[in-house]
Amino acid sequence: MEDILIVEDLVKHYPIRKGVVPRTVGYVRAVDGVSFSIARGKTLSLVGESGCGKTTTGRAILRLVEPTSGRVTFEGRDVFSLGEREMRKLRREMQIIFQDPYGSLNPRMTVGAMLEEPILVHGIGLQEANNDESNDKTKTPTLTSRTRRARQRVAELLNLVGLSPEHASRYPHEFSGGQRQRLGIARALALQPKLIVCDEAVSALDVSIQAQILNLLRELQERFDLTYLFIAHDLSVVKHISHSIAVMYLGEIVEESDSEEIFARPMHPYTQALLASIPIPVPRGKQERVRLEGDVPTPIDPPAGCRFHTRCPIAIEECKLAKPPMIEISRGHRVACIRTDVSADLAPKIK
Amino acid sequence: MISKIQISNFKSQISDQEFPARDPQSSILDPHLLHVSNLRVYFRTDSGLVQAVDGVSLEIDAGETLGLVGESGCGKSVTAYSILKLLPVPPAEYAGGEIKFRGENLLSLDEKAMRRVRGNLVSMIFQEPMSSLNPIMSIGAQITEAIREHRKVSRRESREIAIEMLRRVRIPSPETRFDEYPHQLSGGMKQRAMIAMALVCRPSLLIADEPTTALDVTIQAQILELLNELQQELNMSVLLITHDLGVVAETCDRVAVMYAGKIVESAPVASLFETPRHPYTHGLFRSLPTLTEKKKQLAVIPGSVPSPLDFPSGCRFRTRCSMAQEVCRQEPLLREIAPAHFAACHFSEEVGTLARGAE
Repeated sequence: MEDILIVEDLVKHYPIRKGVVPRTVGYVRAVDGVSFSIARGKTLSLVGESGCGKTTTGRAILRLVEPTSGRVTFEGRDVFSLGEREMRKLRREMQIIFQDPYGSLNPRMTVGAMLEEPILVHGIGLQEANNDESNDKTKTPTLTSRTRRARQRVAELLNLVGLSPEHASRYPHEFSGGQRQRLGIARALALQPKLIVCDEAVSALDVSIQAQILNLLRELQERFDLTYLFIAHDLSVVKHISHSIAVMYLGEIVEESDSEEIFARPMHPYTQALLASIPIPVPRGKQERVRLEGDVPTPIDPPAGCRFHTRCPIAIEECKLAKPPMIEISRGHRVACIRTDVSADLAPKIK
Repeated sequence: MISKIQISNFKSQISDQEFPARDPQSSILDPHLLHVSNLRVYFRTDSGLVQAVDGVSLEIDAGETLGLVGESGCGKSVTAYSILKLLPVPPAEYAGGEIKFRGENLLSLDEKAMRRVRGNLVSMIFQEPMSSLNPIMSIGAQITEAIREHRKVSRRESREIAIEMLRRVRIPSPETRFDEYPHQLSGGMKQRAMIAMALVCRPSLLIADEPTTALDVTIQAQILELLNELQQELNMSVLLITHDLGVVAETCDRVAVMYAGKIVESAPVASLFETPRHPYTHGLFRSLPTLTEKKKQLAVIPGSVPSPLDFPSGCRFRTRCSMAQEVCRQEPLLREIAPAHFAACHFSEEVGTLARGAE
């Protein structure tokens, strides 16, 4: 299958500037050499703890933050070499949904105005409005046909995400959390994109609402052949929606595989610990669990060698010396660990 | 070893607290450590009366963990804040009911008496550690303040107690951390510092309001385990407020499920997870994405939680319930369906059969 998005060796370092005359004294290595690709119509999930660089990766791909180095190819076009104008055109095809739907909606704009704006700016979706409408005598004479079609399109979009066209005249604060996330999705869909980056899109929602939004995202994917880059910290949510999963730790991908495989045979000790840490809603009395000691080290000065060795239960001397290479242990299943012979037996048993 | 001795000394110092004056009769009448009965907390707002908590009853026994579960806006946090009377009055209004702690009604205590309860007999930890840590006070100063508020100890003793407590919540190099400020600690460490502060006076009841929701899963696992250990050491009861059914299954003895200001179901953990008896609980379980299976479509509860300004009459879940009938316009009362398993639904038996059939 054709890959719609290819990310090669993506790096984003944030300079740390200090002093009266600011000087760069170091770098936060937020993303440090990340590579992956997503096939058209599929979902790749980037999973990891806070500060692992998953969000920065998502934003760097859309150039919402300028990457330090690396290469991103979207439908054969080199994203980082584009000028501002070309980039703006490309952004029609690459959209993003944020975690906090309220923080990302303009509180002073009605939903209708908010959804109309990008449609009018880019002139997308207008040609698809029903042409017979132009002969309709009941139309309001003050509206240009462009605006009228844009409004039709807004109504379509609201229907698409499970809201009703009457909602167009309301303001964001009149909606519940789940409805706001539907608005965020409607806005992302307004330009008929091919790729949507979902940055923790369901993390802030209640369980029953989360399920509604996940189902909606899946339906839309099937209907419009959308490709998702799904960024999340919750592995159980990710399992439901992804075709493949990449686990990140301190700016690097440590394991990558298709979704079934990674849950059945997690190989990297970090992936295993992540899986074992998820509380499972089945009471078995108070159980002992495999636990990772300590916190994630700072990305300003990440540990040498394998970055996980400071918390790894099976680390050996060699792990501190050299960065482990990505090795393919079975088709499509890649792991950056030199201890896979040992870790294979440590995988948590998930019934 | 030294630390063990210090702690046991400390324990004897503070063993029998004079407060609340333990009325032997009321303790006999009320065997529960905490007994909330028919609590009503309303908010008067410009748009109308919000019945945030409307007739909630729950009990917690010594050493027990009760999970209070529900979605945003169901009133679980208001219930918790009410126990320590942390809600500003007005707009809040304690419209009825009792909160008995060791037989004494906390709602009838004045502010001065409440100060002796808070942090001493009943403590609270929050989702966001920065909401209870003062950014311009060192960690140590905040913990010793809590000690010296409730105990007659010298500065040096309180410092020792605080450092020992920091060690027990597994903060590395506690002597150094004692003088550091909250911003110098990571999220998980802040949470530990807050736990140290809450538990330093060895309360009998800890109210934990979404204590791990803001943390990463690996850190969440550490904190839950820590809480569990400390609970056993201190023989403390815990009221755990959460929306995460996984956390409930792993930590709680009993669960109460709240919806729209009311408790709709309450049961021992195993019984609730095995056979939910309220359609809302059943719906919650079905909408959970799980690690064990991949479903094409997650089951959903249609619609969203009704506005607290305009709750439906009768059963408040009926507007979203697939089983709702005419009879649901009458309010269902909590009734015992199975041993110690209560549900407020006219069709609890049917829900039970449905839930068992689904497996």
